[in-house]
Amino acid sequence: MRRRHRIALAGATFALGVFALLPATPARADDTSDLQGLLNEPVVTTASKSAETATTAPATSTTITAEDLRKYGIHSLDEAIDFLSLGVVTSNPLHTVDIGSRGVTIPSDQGNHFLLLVNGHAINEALFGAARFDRGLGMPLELIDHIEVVLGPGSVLYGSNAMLGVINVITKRAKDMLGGHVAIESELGKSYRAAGLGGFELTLFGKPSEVTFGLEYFRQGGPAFLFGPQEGGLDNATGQPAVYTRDPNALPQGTWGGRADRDYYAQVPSAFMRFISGNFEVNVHAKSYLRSTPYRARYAQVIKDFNDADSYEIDRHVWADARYRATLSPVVELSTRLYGDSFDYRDHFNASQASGCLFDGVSTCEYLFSGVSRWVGLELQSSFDWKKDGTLVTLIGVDERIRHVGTKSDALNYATHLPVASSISRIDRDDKTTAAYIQQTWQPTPWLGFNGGARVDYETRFRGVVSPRLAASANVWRGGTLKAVYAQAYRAPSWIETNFNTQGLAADTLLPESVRSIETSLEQRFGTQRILMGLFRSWWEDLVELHVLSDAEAREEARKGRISLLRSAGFTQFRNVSSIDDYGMNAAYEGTLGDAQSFKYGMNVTAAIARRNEANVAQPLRVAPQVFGNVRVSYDLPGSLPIVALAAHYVGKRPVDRAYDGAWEHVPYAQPLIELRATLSGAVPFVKGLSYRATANYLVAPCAADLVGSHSACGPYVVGPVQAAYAGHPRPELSPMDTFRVGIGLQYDFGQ
Amino acid sequence: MQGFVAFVLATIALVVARAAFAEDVAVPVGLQAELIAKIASYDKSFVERAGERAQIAILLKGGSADSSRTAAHMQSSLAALPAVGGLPHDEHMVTYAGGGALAAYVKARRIAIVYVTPGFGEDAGDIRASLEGVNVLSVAAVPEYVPKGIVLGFDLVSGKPKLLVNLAQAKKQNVAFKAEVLKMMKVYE
Repeated sequence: MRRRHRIALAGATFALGVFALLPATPARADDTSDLQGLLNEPVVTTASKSAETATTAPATSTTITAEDLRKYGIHSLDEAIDFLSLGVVTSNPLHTVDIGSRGVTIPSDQGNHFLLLVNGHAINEALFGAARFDRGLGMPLELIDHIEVVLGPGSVLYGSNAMLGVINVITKRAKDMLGGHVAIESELGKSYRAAGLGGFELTLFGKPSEVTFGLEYFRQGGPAFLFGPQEGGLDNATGQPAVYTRDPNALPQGTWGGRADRDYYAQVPSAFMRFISGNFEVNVHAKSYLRSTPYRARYAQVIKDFNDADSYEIDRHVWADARYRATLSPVVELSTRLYGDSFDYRDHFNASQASGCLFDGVSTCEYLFSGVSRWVGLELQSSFDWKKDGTLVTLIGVDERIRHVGTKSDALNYATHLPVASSISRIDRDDKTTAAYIQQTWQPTPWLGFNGGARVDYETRFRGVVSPRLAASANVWRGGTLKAVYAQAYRAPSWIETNFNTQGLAADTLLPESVRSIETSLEQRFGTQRILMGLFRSWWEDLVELHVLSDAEAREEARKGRISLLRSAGFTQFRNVSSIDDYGMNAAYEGTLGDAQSFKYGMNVTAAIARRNEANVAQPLRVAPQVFGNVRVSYDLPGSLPIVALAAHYVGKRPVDRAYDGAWEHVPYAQPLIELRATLSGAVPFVKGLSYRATANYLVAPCAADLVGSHSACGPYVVGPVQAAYAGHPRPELSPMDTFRVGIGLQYDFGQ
Repeated sequence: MQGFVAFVLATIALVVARAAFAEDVAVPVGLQAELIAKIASYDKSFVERAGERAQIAILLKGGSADSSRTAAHMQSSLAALPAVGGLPHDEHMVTYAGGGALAAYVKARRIAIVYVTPGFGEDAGDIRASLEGVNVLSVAAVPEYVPKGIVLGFDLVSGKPKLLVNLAQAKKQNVAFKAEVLKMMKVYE
């Protein structure tokens, strides 16, 4: 009940704050604010695969513009989400970021509950369901036109993975970036990037054509963090103090920790090209994402050596998407999309801990896990505008995909780089997925609209899954839009979950995860001001998790001959384990002041209560904040003076990733986080075509007094070999966070 | 696999064979209608030009499915609005039969706004030339027509609508937007 009161209080505080901010002066007769309000109305394409205003689209969404990205000093997709979006939040474990929405985050899911699109092309692959929402996106920010962040289930048109929502990154057209451009940027002492971009218009075979492209190289190194010390106890294999490094002088025996100054880095080279000629469009994207995480944890290289620069992960993704659309008659429009992706992943780490390297004569093991996921698909889509005026439109589509996935794990002797065992954990599978969808929109009157649809997905591992959606929007009074949406979505278990042998025990039949969601919102526009209040509730079923077998379960599996109790312990298996019940509110307010809209501001708030249920035990979700939001303000100083922008985002207290399975003295929580960002941007005086932006970022995330470690800011992840309490270690050490960064960037636009 | 490839090729061939080149209507037509209704009131000549009731011509390109579709959509969107530039209004579908015929029609019917649907990429120059000296606001569904001589248009920049104006042509058609609205527009001289 207290939490409900807290949510109500948050809503009331938000509303009061908003009305306090409203301009006190009445609108003048010749006021252009109504016109400006229309021009501020985002046009979105993601929610229903057709252009429509965000107000009437069948989902709650945020549009993040290129101007926002530059003005607020945004460097990556996760920063854009945290500082500028409604209802979505990321959490950075110094690994790939976790992304959650409206009270639900599934830690270390590799982003597989959120669908990521680039110009409508789905990025999530089949092996892990992975998509990178951080620097690993591999897209120069200067190339991004806008980002549509759509909340809630989106499988009705997009299929698997769209459980929390859909993010569509839309790149610029040539007209918006004509000529050549170069950009360099650095967060001083920590990272730098260099990008070359271009946009050109031409005529090809008599048709207006255009090409846009971007090449970028990003490199990050550090900062260094001080970990531990953690006493790792005795190694199970040797009975001696555990060894966490192959350098005998680097650490005292049995101790993990110290200064990690070599193994926190990332490199992301990427290239993107978009070509449009008449009705034909091709997108091609290639990127590689190499990264190393400066600690060991349950999901991040569990047994790697400490401060080891040779332990890393890399994924590479190349895709191409060709589409052709045609208006066949005033009623019928047809589009064809042929696409193909190649994704591969390698996890390479070195382990000197004896219990992690059980091979005779080998002091350090070099482990190499590699996986590949490739697919090619064809999507045909037709729309029928029955009344030829957009008021009654049927969209139907089929999407067929052929896929290949493969994995293997190898163990090598680090000293010789020769294999010490045969490859294990092999997956080598081909399959086919088929989907069909239909969407009907109907606008019986100018103030009322309906959107209903369903999609059915078939694949070889499970029966068809139906994902329906029904939405209605009504302009209930001048500037006011009431919206209600019911939607379902699903996530096909990844191939790792269904086929990977973890500790010798592959999954039994796994059901797809599913979510049902209902939400309602009221949006009110008055001139250039917009306020949105929404309520939501969602029910998640059959969540797939790595289940640790009880002793009885292990004995039963051993009796069936599926595992050997003599060879190992701590057996795990992917299972449909839990459900989630989630409800809450979100709210947004944004507006502008001044004739030239020089003063802009906005804020987003989400408050939710989410509980994970397993075996009739309900607990708050790990890593998932129940309250979060952001606030921003910018002012365009007159003349050649810069734009000044301030942004902040807040993440409430949340349980850490091992909160419930670590047997800790108290359930450990990460404390609330506040991150502040100040940015100056503008044209460099006297140098035509040259512009700059400078950022300063300060983060406050106190470490709870009863936690281990010496970090100045703590995230919600337990690090180090002590992943569960034992005598002498009743409390965990949490992941560190980078508290202060300053950056400077320059961009030169040729031909200005 | 062979069947899949054949399916792909057959589909592409079918679509390519049937389709004409479609021009992008960047901003949804319904939103364009609302913008036209608002902007017209910032044209200092609009009331004088329109009289008591604004006549709006929606220009159709014969044989263009995109044009027909956009025209019908614009007609129904405008019909749903109580006023355009503060005035009651009527919409007329007009099939394009050359620049001269268009100019004559505009003068004869005292048309206040001509909405140019998609499909006029090659005719935009003729329309520009024929409407020089004619008191009318021409509005393009497709942003590319504005630099070619249509007075007003709509583009999408960063997912938000942007107004485009061809100022030189506006003067030739006696269109004079107020300064506070011109500040919101991308201006082509």
